[in-house]
Amino acid sequence: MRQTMRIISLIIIASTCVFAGRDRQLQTLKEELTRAFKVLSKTQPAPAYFLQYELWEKRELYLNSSLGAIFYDYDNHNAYVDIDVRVGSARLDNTHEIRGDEHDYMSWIPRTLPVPVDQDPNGIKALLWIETDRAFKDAQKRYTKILAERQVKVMETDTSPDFSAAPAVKFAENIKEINIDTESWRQRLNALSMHFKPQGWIYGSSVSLRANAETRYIVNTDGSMIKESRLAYRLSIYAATMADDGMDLYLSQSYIAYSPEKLPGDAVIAAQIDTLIQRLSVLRSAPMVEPYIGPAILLNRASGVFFHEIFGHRIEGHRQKSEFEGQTFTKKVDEQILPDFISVFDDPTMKEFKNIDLNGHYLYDNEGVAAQRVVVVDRGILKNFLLSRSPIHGFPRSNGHGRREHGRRVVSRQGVLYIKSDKETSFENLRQTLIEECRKQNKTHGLIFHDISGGFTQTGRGGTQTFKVIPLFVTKIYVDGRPDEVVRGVDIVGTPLLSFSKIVMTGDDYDVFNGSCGAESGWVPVSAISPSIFVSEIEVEKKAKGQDKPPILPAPENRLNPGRQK
Amino acid sequence: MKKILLLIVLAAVGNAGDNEDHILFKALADEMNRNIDQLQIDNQPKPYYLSYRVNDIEGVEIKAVFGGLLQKNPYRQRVLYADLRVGDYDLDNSNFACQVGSSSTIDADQINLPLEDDYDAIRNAVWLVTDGTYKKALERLSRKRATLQNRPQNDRSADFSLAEPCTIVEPIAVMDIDIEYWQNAAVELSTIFRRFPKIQESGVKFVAQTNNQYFLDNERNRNRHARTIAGIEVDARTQSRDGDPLEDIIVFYACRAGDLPSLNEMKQAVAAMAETLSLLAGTTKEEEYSGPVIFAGQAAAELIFQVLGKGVSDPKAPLFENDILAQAGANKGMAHLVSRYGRKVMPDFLSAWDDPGLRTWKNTSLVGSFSVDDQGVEAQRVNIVTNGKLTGLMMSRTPSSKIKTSNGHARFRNERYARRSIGMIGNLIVESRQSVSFEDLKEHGLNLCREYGLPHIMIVSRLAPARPLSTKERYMRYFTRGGSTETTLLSAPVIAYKIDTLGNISLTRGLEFCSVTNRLLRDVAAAGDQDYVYNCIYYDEEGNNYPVSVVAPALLIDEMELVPKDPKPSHLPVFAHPYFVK
Repeated sequence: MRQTMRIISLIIIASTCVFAGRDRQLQTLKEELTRAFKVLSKTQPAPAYFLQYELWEKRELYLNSSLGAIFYDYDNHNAYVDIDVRVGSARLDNTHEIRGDEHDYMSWIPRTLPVPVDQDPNGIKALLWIETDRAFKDAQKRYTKILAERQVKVMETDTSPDFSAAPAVKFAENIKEINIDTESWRQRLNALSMHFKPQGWIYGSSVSLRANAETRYIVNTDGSMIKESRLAYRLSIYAATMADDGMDLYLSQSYIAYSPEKLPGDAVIAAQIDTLIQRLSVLRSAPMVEPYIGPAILLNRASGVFFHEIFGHRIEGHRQKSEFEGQTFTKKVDEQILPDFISVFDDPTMKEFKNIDLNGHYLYDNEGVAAQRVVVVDRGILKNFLLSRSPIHGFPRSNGHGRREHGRRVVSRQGVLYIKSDKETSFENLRQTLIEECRKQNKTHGLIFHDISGGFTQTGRGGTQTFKVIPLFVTKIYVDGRPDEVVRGVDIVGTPLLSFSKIVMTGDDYDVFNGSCGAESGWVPVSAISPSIFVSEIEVEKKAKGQDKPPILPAPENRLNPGRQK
Repeated sequence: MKKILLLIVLAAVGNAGDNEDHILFKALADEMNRNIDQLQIDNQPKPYYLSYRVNDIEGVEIKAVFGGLLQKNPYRQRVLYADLRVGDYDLDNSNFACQVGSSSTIDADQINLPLEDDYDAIRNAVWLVTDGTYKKALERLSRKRATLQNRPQNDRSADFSLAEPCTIVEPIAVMDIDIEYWQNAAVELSTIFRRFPKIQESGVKFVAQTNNQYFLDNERNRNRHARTIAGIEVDARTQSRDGDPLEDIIVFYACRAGDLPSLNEMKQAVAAMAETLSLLAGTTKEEEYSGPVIFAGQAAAELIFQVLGKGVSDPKAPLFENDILAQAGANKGMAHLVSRYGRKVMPDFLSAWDDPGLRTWKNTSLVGSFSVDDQGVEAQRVNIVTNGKLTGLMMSRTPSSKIKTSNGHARFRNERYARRSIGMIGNLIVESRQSVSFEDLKEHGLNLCREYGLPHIMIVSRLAPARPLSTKERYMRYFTRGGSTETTLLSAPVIAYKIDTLGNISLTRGLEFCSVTNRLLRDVAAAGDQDYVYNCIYYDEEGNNYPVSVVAPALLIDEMELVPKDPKPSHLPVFAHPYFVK
C-alpha cells in the first residue's frame, strides 16, 4: 500500500513540475526569494541559511441565517505572505527556544503581511523586500540572544538540531474556485433556519454556509515550488438555550465537503434540526449529574475529539523537545502507552473516509514537506511522533506535519488522526458490556457521551498534566433496565496516561469528526476517525455554569410561535 | 468620469410618515413597549430608561500598494445598541468601569440584527439583548453602589440628564459607490510611489460608508438620521540616512465620494508628500529648538483638535471599580481643559465653536457633521471659547460638575471595561477677530526671533495624527491590561521647516514638543487669515474611530520648546528595493 502511494506521488510530481515553473505567482516569489537570499546568506554576523515564502490566497464566503433572515453575508478576498528566515545553522538557529523567557510571547504574536490579491508582481515584491529585511534583522537579534543564553544555561535535554533537511518539491495544481449560487443558498438557509421559529425557548439558532477557498504557494531555498489549492464547504446548524438554573446549553452539527453536491440535502438537514431541537428540549430539563467515576462509552465522534485533545496534542513533536513541556510520551518510544488492540496513525493524505470528506487533508505542509502517513502507535506501542522540520531526539526528519494558520509560526500539528482497533464489537455489545461492567463495579448506571464540543489539555510542565473535555450530550444507562436518561452539567476530567489504560474495547462503528483545532500555530483544519470506545473508568466533574436566569419575558409571539411557551 | 456615479446618493424613500411603518422601527417599538411594561425581576427595580440605537452600515474598503490591489471587501452590518438604565437619573448603572461576565447564550448591550427587514427575527434579537442588558444593568448598579461606599467619586454629579425629544427623520442614505472607479483610483495613486526610490513602504486606502441610524427610547425620542463618509488615506514610510524612521500620511475625506478632490489633485498631493518625505530622508537631525512656531494647514487644525477639541471632550470620567481598572482607564488624552471652564484658555481675539449640524464650510463638506447624536439628541451649536474664555464643553446626557445637560455631542465609545456615550467634538471651528496674511504671520514670527536673538523661526505644516493600533500594539495593550498609549498633549511634527531671518527655508526633522501644557493656546500670538478645513478620522486607543472636522487658521505661538525625539533608529535595509534595482 505504502509503496503504491509513493509511486503515485512520484507520477504527480513528474506531471506537474513544468507547470510549477510557469506559474506567475510562484515565479514572482521565486525571483524575490533568490534576490534576497543572495544577499542575506552573506550578511554577517549571522547569515541566513534558509528562506521561505508562503503566499496564501484566500476567499471566504459566509452566509448565516437565523429565524428565516440573513444575519451575516460576506465574500472576502485576501492574500498574505508568511516569511520564514533562519540564520545561524541548522544545528542552532534563531528559532531555538529561549529558556530565560518562558512566555517569549512576542515571538508568538501573529505577523501578517497582506499582499495584493491581483497577483501584481511589483506590489508583492516591494512588500516582500521590506518585510524580509525586517524578519531577517529580527532573526539576527534573536539569534544573538540565543547565543548569549547558551553561555549561562545548562544544556537542553534534547540536543537535536533546530532544522532538518527536506527534499525539494515541485508541485502545482489548478486553483479551486468557489462555485455556488449564492442567492439560492440564501433562500435555502432562510427556509431551513425557519425550522427553529416555533421554538421560543431556543435563544440562539442559525444555519450557515461557509465556503473557504485557499491556495498556498510555497517557495524556499531548498528549491521547492508548491502550489496547493483547497476548497471546503461547511454547513453548520447551531442551537442554544438555557436551563432554568442558568446553565448555557447548546448543540451543533457541521457537515464538511469538498464540493457543494456532497453536502446533505434539505430533508437530511431538516431532520437533523429536529433532532437538535428535540435533544435541547430534553437537555433543558435534564437532571444534573453528580461527580462520578465509573464505566462509560464515548460514541465514535466524541471519541475522535477525545483522542484528538488528550492523545493527539501529546504526540506533536515540538512538545517532546520544549523544556517547558510535560513530555508525557517523550521517553516512551517502543513502550506500551495504549491498550494492545489500539493503533493510531495520522494521515493527512487521506481525502475521504466512508465517502465523508476529511477536513484535515492536505498534500504538503507549511514547510514544503509532503504529508506522510505516520504510524504513531502500533498495537499499543509508541512508534513515532508528528514532526515538523524541527527534529527531536531519535527522529531527525519531518513527516509533513508542520502546520500553521497564516501569520503564525509553524509547529507540528495533527491532520487526520485515525484510531484503529483490533478489538471491535457491535455497538449493542459495547452497550451490554458497559452494563455488565457497571454491575461488576456495583454502579447503578454508566454514561454514554454522544457529543463533545472540544476541550483543553495542559501539556506544559508548569501546570498539572490534566485534561478537560466538554460533553454536549450525555445519557445515563441504568443497570436495572430503566430507560436511558439524558443528563447535563458534566465535564470529563482526568490525566492522560491513566485514562488510556482504561480503554477496554471498541465498537466497529467508525465515524469522522471534522473540525478546526486552535493551538500555538493558530487554527488549522483537522479530522479524527474513531470507533466508539468503552472505558472501564472515567471521571466527570460538575461543569461551571452561568449565574444568569433564562429570559424573564417569553419570546415575542410570531405566526409559528403563538406565544404560549416560556 | 460620470460624476453622478460617484455620489453616495441621499435618496428619499418617502416622507416622514413611512418612519412609523418601517418594519425595523415597528419591531423596536413593539419590543420596547413590552419590555418597559413587563420587564422586571422580583424585588429588583424596573428599567427607568431604555433606548435602542441601530446602525445600519454599508461600506467598502479598498487598499492598494505600489500598483497592486491589496483588498476590495464590501461589508454590511446592522448592529443594535441597547442602553438600559436601572436606578434613577441621579444614580444608575452607567458611567462605571467594571468587569461583568456574561452568558454565552444571551447577548448584552449590543447584538447583530438581520440584514433583511424581517419583523420576527428583529424582534426576537431585541427581546434577547434587552433581557441580557437588563441583568447586566442590575449587576452593574449593585456593584457601583458598593464601590461608591469605598471609592468616593470626584465628580458626583448625576448620572443622566433629561433631554428634549428629537423626532428628526432624514431620508435613508443609499450606498452608491462606483467600486471599479475607486479601485482604479487607489491603484493609480499607489503607483505614484514607483517614482520615489527613497520611499520604503507606502499604501493607499479608500473607504466609503453609509450609516443610517435609527433611534428610539421610552422618552418620546424617535429619529432616523443618515451619515455618509468617503475618503482616501495615503501613507508612506522610510528611514533617514542614520536609520531614524520617518513616516507621513495624508488624508482626503468628504461626506460623499463625489466631493473628494479630483484624482489629479490627489495625485499631485501624493507626489508632493512622497517628494517631501524623500527630501526629509536626506536631512540631518535637528538638535533642539526654542522659539516662535507657526502651525499652518493640517498642523494648525491638528493642534486645535488635540489641545482644544480633545481638551473639552469627555468631561466626566467614569467611576472605576478598582485601582487596576482605574490605571488602565486613566489618561485617555481628553478632558484636560475641563478644569479651566470659565477661565481664559486662548487670547481675546480667538473664539471657537462646535456645530455638528453644519454640513459645509465655505463649500467644503464637513465629515464631523451629524444632525442627531448617538443618544438620539439633536446636535446643537456650542460656543466653546468666547473671546478667549472657555464657555462650553462637549456634552452627552452624562452631566458633569460644570454643565448639566446634553448639547447633542454624544459619541458612543466602547472601552475595555465600560461602554459610554461621551461628549466629543463634531465640527470644531476656530475664528479670529484679528487675522493677518501668512506672509505677515511669518514676518511677525521673524520679528520675535530678532527680538529673542534667534536665528530662525519654525513652521510646522503637518502634525502626526492618531493612527489605529498595529497588531503588535494591540497585543501589547492586551498584555498590559490596556493602559493608554497617548502620553503627550501634542503629537510630534511630521513636516516642519526652519526659515531664517534672510528668508532661507530648510526642512527639519527629529524633534518633538516638550513641556506642552493646557495653557499652550494662551500663547497664540497671531492668527492667519486663511481657514484650513481638516476632515479626518480620529482613531482612539480603544479601537473606536470618529469622523471629525476642524477648521482653523494658521497660528503663531510665541515660544515653544522642541527636543530631540527618542530616535529608535534601526539599520537601513541590507539590500535594495526590488523595483529600483536595474
